[in-house]
Amino acid sequence: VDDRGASAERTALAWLRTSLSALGTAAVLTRLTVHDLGPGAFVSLALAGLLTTWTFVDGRRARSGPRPRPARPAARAATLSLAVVAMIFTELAALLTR
Amino acid sequence: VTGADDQGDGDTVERPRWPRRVYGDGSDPDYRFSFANERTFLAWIRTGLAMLAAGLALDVVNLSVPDVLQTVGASALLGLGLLCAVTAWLRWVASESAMRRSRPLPGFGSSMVVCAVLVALALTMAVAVWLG
Repeated sequence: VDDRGASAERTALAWLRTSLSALGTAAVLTRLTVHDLGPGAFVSLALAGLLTTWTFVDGRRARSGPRPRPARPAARAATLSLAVVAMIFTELAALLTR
Repeated sequence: VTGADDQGDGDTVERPRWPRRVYGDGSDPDYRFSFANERTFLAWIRTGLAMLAAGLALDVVNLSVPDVLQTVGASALLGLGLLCAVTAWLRWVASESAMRRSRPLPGFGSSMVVCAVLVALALTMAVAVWLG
């Protein structure tokens, strides 16, 4: 496998720890806001869950290839940004309506 | 616009690459640079998550400071988190575009804003907790 500097592997691990951090934060956030927001509190948790699944699937695919592929992360990156934004608005809604 | 799988790993498929603003022009840089850009994006996302977690914590704990100060502090941290998450994406787009077109990397002022607001907030909270 041609992965000088292990950049493909380091990037896959960075994706994994970031996705898992987002999922953990979303879980705590949902636990703390579900009382105020009801079902709306689950939106960002669902997004974070989808994203973590996506990361695992893409990670498996990348590892099964013979070489690191050129990075093509745009859609997943945009979804991750969106998930964090959704989490922040969830907490803002809970904070400002309390 | 299509991008070839130029790593030559067998299942070469031509598929359009999104977003066009990035991939519509220029050529693939050394893949290690693209990966580094991706990891920088992820680091900014984690910084945003940390801001969110801090805002959440400030919202739910009981400190001996006025409630309004806790609400304002939590809102400020959430605003920083929003800034981090949005600029993470914009920075990734701008950097990838610049690398594909062999232009200098763009600069961003967001880290300075994050630093300044964070220091101001920390000082305010420290004084408030000390007085309370």
